[in-house]
Amino acid sequence: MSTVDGFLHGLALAAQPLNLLYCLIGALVGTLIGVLPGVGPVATIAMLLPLTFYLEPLQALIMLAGIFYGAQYGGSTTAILVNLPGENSSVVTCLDGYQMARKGRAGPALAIAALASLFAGIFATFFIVLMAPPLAGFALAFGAAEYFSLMVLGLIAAIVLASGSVLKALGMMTLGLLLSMVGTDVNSGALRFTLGLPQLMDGIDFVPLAMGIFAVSEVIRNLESPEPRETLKTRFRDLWPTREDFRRSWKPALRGSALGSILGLLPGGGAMLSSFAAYSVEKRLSPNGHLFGQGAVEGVAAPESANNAGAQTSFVPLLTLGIPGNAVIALMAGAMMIHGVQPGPQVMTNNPELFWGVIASMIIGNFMLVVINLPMLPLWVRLLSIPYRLFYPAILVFCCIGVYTINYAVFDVVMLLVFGLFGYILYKFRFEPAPLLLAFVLGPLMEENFRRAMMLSFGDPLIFIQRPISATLLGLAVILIAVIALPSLRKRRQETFAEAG
Amino acid sequence: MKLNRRQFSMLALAAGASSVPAFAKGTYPERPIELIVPFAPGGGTDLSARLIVPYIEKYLNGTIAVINKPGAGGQVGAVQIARAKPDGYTIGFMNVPNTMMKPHERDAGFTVDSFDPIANLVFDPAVLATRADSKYKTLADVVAECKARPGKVTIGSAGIGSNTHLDLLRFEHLAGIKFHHIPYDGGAAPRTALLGGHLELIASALGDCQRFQKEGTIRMLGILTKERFPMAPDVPTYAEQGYPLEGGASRGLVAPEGMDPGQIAAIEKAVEQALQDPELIKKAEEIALPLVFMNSKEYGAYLQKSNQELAEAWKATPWVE
Amino acid sequence: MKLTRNPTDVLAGILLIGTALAFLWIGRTLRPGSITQMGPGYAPNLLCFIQILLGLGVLAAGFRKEGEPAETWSLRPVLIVALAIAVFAVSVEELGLLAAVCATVIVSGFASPESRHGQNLLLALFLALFSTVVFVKGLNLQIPVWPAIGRQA
Repeated sequence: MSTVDGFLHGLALAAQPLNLLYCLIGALVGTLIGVLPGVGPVATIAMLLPLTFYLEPLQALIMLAGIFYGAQYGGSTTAILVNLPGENSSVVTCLDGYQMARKGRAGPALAIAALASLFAGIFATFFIVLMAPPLAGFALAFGAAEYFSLMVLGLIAAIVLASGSVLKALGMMTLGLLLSMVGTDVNSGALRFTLGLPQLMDGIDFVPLAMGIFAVSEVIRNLESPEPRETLKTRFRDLWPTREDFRRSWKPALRGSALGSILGLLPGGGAMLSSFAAYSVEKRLSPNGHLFGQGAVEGVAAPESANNAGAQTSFVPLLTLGIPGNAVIALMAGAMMIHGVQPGPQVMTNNPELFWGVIASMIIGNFMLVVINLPMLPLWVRLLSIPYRLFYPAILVFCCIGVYTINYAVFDVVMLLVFGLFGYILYKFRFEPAPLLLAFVLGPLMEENFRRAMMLSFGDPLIFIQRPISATLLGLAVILIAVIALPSLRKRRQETFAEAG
Repeated sequence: MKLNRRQFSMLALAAGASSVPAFAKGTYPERPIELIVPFAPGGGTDLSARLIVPYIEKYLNGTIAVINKPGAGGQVGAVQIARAKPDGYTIGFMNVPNTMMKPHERDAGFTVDSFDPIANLVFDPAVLATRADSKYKTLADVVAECKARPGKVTIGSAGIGSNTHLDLLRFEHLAGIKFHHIPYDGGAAPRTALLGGHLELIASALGDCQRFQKEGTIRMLGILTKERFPMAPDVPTYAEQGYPLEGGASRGLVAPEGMDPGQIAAIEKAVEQALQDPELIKKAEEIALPLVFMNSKEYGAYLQKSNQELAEAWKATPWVE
Repeated sequence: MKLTRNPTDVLAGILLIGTALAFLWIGRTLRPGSITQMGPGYAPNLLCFIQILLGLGVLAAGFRKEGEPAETWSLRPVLIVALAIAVFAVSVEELGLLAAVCATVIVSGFASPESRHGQNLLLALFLALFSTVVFVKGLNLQIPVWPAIGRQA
C-alpha cells in the first residue's frame, strides 16, 4: 500500500462517527486541561489510560492524541490572555501573544494562534504522508554528539529571544543551566544543590518555575503600576485578525511548520526546541524583527505553528521505530502496548489502519479545535474586560491549584512563591526570563549528552566536528553567533564614529 | 451510529462528566490507591505497571493511580514510597536489583526494611544484545574482540548500578575482559543508540529487546537464565556458552513499612488473581513480559536474600566513587 | 557626581555574581573530574565561573554607561501576593480546597487598593465552588475538599 493510499484509507477510518466522537472528546478534554494552568497532558493521559482499556486501539489513540495537541492549543490561550505558560511549548507564545493582549489585540492573537496551528497540522500531516518512510532513519542518526550540538544551537538561538543586553541574556542562560542541575546527576547518581531537601532530588519542576517567573511576577507588576487596560475598548471588529495580520503571518507560519515538522522527529527535546527555534528564526528574517517582544503577530504565528507541527511529527519515531520522543508519547506507547500493539517498524506494515488512522485523525482534530475555539474567542476576550481587581486573585488561585496538582506536593506551591518573587526581582533588574527557561529545559540534555559523547569518543572532543550532522549543527551555531554579533559590532563602530565626528 | 452501554459510560467518564468507580464504604480500598513507579513513563517498569494494573484493579475492586517518580535508578521514587503514610493508599514498585542496590552505594534514605513486601509480579531476564548486522554472533566473538581491543568495545547499559550494569561487571570478571561502558538512563535510550550504530553492544533485558529481535533489527547473543527461557527459546543461555551466570530484574509491589496486613493481603490476593487472568497472560506474552508471581512471604524472603547478595557484591567491587 | 550611572545594571551584575557564588559554595563538595571524565561538579563549576565573568561585565557596564534610573519598588503587592500563595500552601492539605481558595482570594484582595472586600468575598466563594467542581469533580484530581478534621480517615 502506498503512503497516499494508506493516508486516504486512514482518513476514511478517522471519519467514522465513533472515531470522530473520540477525536472530539480528546480535543475538548485537551483544550480544557490546556486552559487550566498546571494540569498537563502527561497527568491527564496517565489518568485516562486505564479508561482507554475498554476502547478499540484506534479509538484510544485518536482520543489520546487529541488530548495531546488539544492541550498544547489550550496552553497558548492562557499564555496569550494572562502570560501563563502551562507547557514549555507555550513559553514563547507568551512573549508576543501577551503583549498583543495588553494592546487590546487578544482576539487577533488567539485567532492567529488557532489558524497557525491548523495550518501547521495540515502541513505536518502532508509532511508525514510524503516523507514518513525515509524519515524513520533520521532519528537514529542522532547520537550523543548530535544531540549536544543541537542543544548548543538551540541555546545560541535563545540569545535572540532577548531584546535587551546580550550579556544579561547570557547570564540568564547560565543561571537557567545551573537551576536545571539541581537534583540527581544521571551520569554519577550524585546529588547536586539539593540543600538536603528530598523534594529537590528530582530537580526543580518546570511548571512552578515557569508560572512563578511569568504569571506570578506579572501579577505583582500589574498591581504596582495599574495601567489603563485597553481591552475594554475592544470593538467587535477588532476581535478578528486584519488582512495585514494574515499577510504578515503566513510566511512565519509556513517556516514554523517546516521547522517544527523536522525538529519534532527527534526524540528527546526536538519538539520542545521547535517553538523557540521558530521564534528566533522569524526575529531574524522578519522585516518587523524589531517589533518582536512588543506584540508582533509573527511572534505568535511562528512558534504556534512550530509546536503543533512538532507535536504531530513526534509520533513518527514512535510509530516507525518504537522510540518515544517525550513523556506524552511514551504514555501513548504504553497505550498501544496495553492494546497488544507493539510500537515499532511493524506498526506500518502490520497495523497500517492504526498508523494512518491516527495521522489522519490529527487533521480532523485540528479542524475541530478551530471550530470549537473560534466561537469562544469573544468569550475569552470578554474575560479580559473583567476588572483586574477581580481577575488577579483568580490567576493566583489557579496557579496554586495547578502547581499543587502536578505532584500533590505543597513544596511545589512554595517553589511557585519563591520563583514568583525571583521573577519580580529579575524584572526589576531588567532581565528577560525566556532564555533562562529555555536553558533550564535544555540543560540536562546538554550536559548528559556532552558527557556521553566524550565517553563514546574515548575523550576525544573532535567527535563533535568529525560527525557530519553534529558539525553542521555547530557550524550553524557559529554562523548564528556571527549574525547576532555583527549588527552590534556595526552599531558600536557607528557610535565610535559619531563620537569622533 | 449505535453506542452500547459500556461505550456510553466510558464516554461519560472520558469526558470527565462523572468520576471513576464508586467505592464501597468501609471496605478497602475506599479511594484510589497511588502506585509509585520510580522510573520514567514508557520504560520497562512503567509499561509492566500500566499493563498489569487494570487487572489488579479488576480483582481489587478499586482504582489504582500510577504515578511516575523517576530519578537516580529508582532511589527518588523508593524514598517517596518509604516515607509515605502506611495507610494503604500509597504503594510502589520495587525493582531488584536496580533500586535495592542504592542503599549499598550511599545513604539512600531507605533500606530493605523500609518496606512491607506485597507480591512479585515480573521477572525479566538480562540479555546481551547487538545489532542484527553486527559481526558478533556468539559470546565467544565478543570475548575474542574484547581481548583484541581491551577496553575499547563500547557497551551501553540502563545506568550506573542498574542490573544491566551489574551483570556486565560480573561477565567482565568471569571472562577476564574489559568493556568501554557507557551508562544511559533506562532501557530504551541505549537500545535506540545501538540501532543507530552509536554502540556495539548493549547489556539489556529480554523485555526491551524481544520485539526488535522478532523484527530482525537486534540479535540477542545470550540470556542470563539457568535454562533456555520459555518466552525466547531460540536465545542461547550464557551457561551453555561457557559462562554460568544468571541475572535479571524483578518487579514487585511494596508498601511503606507498617501497612495494615489486611490491606496487604487484599492487594496480594488481587495480584495473584490478576496474574492468572488468561487475557493478561496473552497480552504479556505478546510484549515479552515474563510474569512471575510470589506471595508476600516469598517475596519478602527474596528481597532479604537479594539484599544480602548485593551487599556482598558491593563489598567485592564497588563501582561508584 | 553619582557613584553609578546605571544602578539597575550594577544590581543585576551583583545578582549574577551572587547567585554564581552561592552555587559554587553549595556545590563545593562535588567532584569536578576532568574534561574527558567529567564528574558531577564539572559543568556547574564551569557555569559558575562563566556567570561570574558575565556578572562582572554587566557590573562594569553599569558603572560606565548611562542608563535609566533605578526602578522603584513597591512592597505591598509583593508581600501580599507572597502571603496569599503561602496561605494556600499551608492550608490546602489541612483545611481542604474550599477553605484554601477562599483564604487565598481574601488575602490577595489586600494587594490592590482598588479591591472591594464585599466583592472579594463573593469572588472567593465563586472560585472555591468553581475549582471544586472542575478540578475535583470534573478532572477527578485528588485534592482534599474539606478540612482534615471532618474528613474520614
